[in-house]
Amino acid sequence: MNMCALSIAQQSDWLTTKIFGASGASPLARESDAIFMWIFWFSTFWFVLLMGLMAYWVVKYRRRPGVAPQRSAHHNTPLELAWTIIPSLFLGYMFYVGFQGYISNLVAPTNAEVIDVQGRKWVWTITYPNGANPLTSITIANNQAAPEIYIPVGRPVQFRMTSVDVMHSFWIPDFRFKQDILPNRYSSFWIEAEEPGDHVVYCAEYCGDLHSEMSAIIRAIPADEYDAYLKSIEDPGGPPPVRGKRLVDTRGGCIACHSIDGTKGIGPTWKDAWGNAVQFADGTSLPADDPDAWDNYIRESIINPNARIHNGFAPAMASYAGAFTEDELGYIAAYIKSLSSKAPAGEIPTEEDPAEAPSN
Amino acid sequence: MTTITTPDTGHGGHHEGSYLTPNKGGVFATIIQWATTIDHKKIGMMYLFAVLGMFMLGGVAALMVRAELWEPTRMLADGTVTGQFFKGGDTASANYLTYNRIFTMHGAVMVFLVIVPGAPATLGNFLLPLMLGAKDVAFPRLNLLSWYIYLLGAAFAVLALLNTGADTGWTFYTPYSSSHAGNTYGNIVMMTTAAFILGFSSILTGLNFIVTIHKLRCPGMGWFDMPLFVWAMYATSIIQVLATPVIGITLLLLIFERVFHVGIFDPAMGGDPVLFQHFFWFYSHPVVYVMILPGMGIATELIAVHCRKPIFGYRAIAFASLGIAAVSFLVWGHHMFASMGELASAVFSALTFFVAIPTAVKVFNWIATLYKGSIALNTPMLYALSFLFLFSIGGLTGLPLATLATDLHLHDSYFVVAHFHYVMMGGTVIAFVGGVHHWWPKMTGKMYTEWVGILGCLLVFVGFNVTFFTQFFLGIQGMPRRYANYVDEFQLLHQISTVGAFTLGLGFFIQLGNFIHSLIAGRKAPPNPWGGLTLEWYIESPPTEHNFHKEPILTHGPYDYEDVYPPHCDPADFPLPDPKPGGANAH
Repeated sequence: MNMCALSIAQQSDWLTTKIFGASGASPLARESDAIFMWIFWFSTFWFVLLMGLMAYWVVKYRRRPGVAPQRSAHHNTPLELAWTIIPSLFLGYMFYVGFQGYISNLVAPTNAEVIDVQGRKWVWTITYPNGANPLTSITIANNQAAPEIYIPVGRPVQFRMTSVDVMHSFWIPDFRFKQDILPNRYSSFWIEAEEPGDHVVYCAEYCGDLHSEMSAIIRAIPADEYDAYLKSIEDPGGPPPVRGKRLVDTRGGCIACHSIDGTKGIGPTWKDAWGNAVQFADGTSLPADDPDAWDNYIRESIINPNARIHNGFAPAMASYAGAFTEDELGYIAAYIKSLSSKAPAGEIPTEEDPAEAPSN
Repeated sequence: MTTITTPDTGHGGHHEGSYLTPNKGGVFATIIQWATTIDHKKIGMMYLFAVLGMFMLGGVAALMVRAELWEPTRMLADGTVTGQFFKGGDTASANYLTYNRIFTMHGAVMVFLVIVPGAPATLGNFLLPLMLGAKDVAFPRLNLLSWYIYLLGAAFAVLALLNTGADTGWTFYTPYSSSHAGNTYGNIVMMTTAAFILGFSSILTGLNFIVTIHKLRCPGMGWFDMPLFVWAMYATSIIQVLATPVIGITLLLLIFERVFHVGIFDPAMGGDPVLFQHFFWFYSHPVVYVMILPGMGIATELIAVHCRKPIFGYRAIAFASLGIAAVSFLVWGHHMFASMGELASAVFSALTFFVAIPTAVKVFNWIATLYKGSIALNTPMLYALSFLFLFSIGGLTGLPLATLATDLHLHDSYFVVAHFHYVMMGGTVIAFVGGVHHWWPKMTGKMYTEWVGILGCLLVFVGFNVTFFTQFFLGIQGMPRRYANYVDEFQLLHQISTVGAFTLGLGFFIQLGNFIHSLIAGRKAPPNPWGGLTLEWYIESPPTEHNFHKEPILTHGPYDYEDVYPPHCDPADFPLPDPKPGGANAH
């Protein structure tokens, strides 16, 4: 975080709060505000200078009877070079800090809690890491029901988002960030709440009639309360990897081609697959350790398996488009993820689970 | 002292009248004459009439939007709804359908029917041949065709709007717009067909202007002797010709997807919605430079003439215009930072900062031109000064939008709405209205009433700032765009903005009245009321049918005030005397 911008931000804290309404709810949010205020002061300086000169000269050189315009230079190369190069340097700096802040918001810490968000016209549905998806909401504004999204204070939370119909966008003004939500792929960003509190979420991509009423409320609560909450809403169907294994075993038929113990089959093995680099037949590749790219790759491989073929394997897999709901795709992906040593801490389902769990 | 040499070709001594003189055959003959004209001046005036009419339509839509946002909509416990001006559609879930159609109409009309054709088709058509010393554009019949294509496209658009309109926003994002599963409300095919048709008008006009500028300059006029308005039109025309086909094809693909269910943009059929955004913005970003470059050209002319000063840095402005046109094709992704990957976002952010540089240089040059000038504070100059003020704010507020970290907060918020209104309206429309005032005497032969012009300008300036400056704060504080409803804490800012909008409307209304009054009862205009040195000021107001009685031979630059006027001469000697009669118009 650049010291120059930080010090300016501290000096104009009062003004920042006045402009933004409330200060940012996390260090990244406040950093975004600091960048904005830096640009604000930069712009104000140039604007006052230019408009001041304009006003001064308009008055000083106003047309008066008997006074002709005086001769002056038609151009001035050193001056013109200076006022081209100097602003460019400032703009370069602006780009640099902007890029850094942007990447910081997009790349989640590896221990981030992943909350799945689905947007549809005109409501948000949430799935917590344990697979539960309650739909509790509070009423705001025009009697609209804004679904509650609980997050733990002091722990990073990544929103992994997709749409089931048209484009939406998930904007949390207090955290100064948004990402568009697209059908048929995942997009994501992460936040971390510093203290308990409520933060409104707006849909920020026009999606039709009730676009103006597609809100949600993020409720940051102490971490222990959050864990207790998750326990209380735990679905008897089990966490996502368990459900995914059940789907794979009962409806997918995936084991015909994909082994879970490392044996080479018609399709790539799922053991230690997730999170490792993959080379594709068309020359492109998937980098290692890129969770967002892997989430999208698994999803794409179920719906459109021939989009990217793992090198050394034939394009033999049929598409499962329409066979699974959005939630079920997430469970299968969670199961595949759980079979990799690179997966974030999660449950590896045991053999007993399918027998114990009720049919889903 | 004349500075045009006009070779005497022995023109007859009869009184010809101007291009506006009605046909001797009566009203019907006059109508036919205008309907079949290939005179660039008549075509420009017809465009002016149409564009102002469409501006009023789009403006009424804007006032409807602001009226709706005066109060948030609330449903009371007993089910009654308060604060909603425009009831929704017929079905239970269509609460805001009418509002959504209104803001779509506002955007589509303003972009496709007003601002894009705006200055090029009206002032560009009228002035380009005059400034070059030519009789007409290179392809006069093509010019008439452009006009009729515009009319056809406008007819389609108005029909679509009267039918049910569309509620997709002027950006037609997919899959909301491209599939019936996404959206069943509205005549999207007709709206996009209208835009498709209008694109051809743009392309043909651009083509016409490029050839005119290359081929029809009068003797003595090299590239760097042209007025900077012509340079601006040149750069604009290049963008129009190269970029418009892309939107044509994009909208055609959208229509195919909607009608024939071909999967291009709809993921349910295997398509990609981000692809639509790329295609759409590949045109729609350059088109905002089609909008602003003529405005900048107009501002350049206004400042030079009303300060009686050569523009500071002529070549810098000429090359900056071309530079802006070139770089404008490289930055479209900055509309998509929230839906693109990191690498693409980084590249487009960096390139966007590039395009800011030539733009800033132009602003510095304009202000430097004021130095040691003789500045007349008349209506056109007040518009030019307003342009500098408002466009600077618009440009500077583009910086946090080009910056990735801040854009991901401000994207799709009211901050963006304020930014683009500052550049498109505070920039282009303000410059355009100033230009219409400036060239009104030339185009119509009448003077408008000065104090009314100044009053209108002040109302517009104040109304504009009240309307849109508040919207920066709305956006920063979390008000998303295209919202018909909002949380209580935004109400005060919205109300202030609405008051500003109606003030702005009043200002424009007053100016319209000023123009109408001048047509009916305005003072006759001299050929050169402002003391300009570009060729249009050397002929009658309004000009005759074929512009120049003899082909002019240029002997001075467009802003050579210091050379043309004797040093320390009394400005009361201005305006310049009429061109020496070489035989024809001795009146």
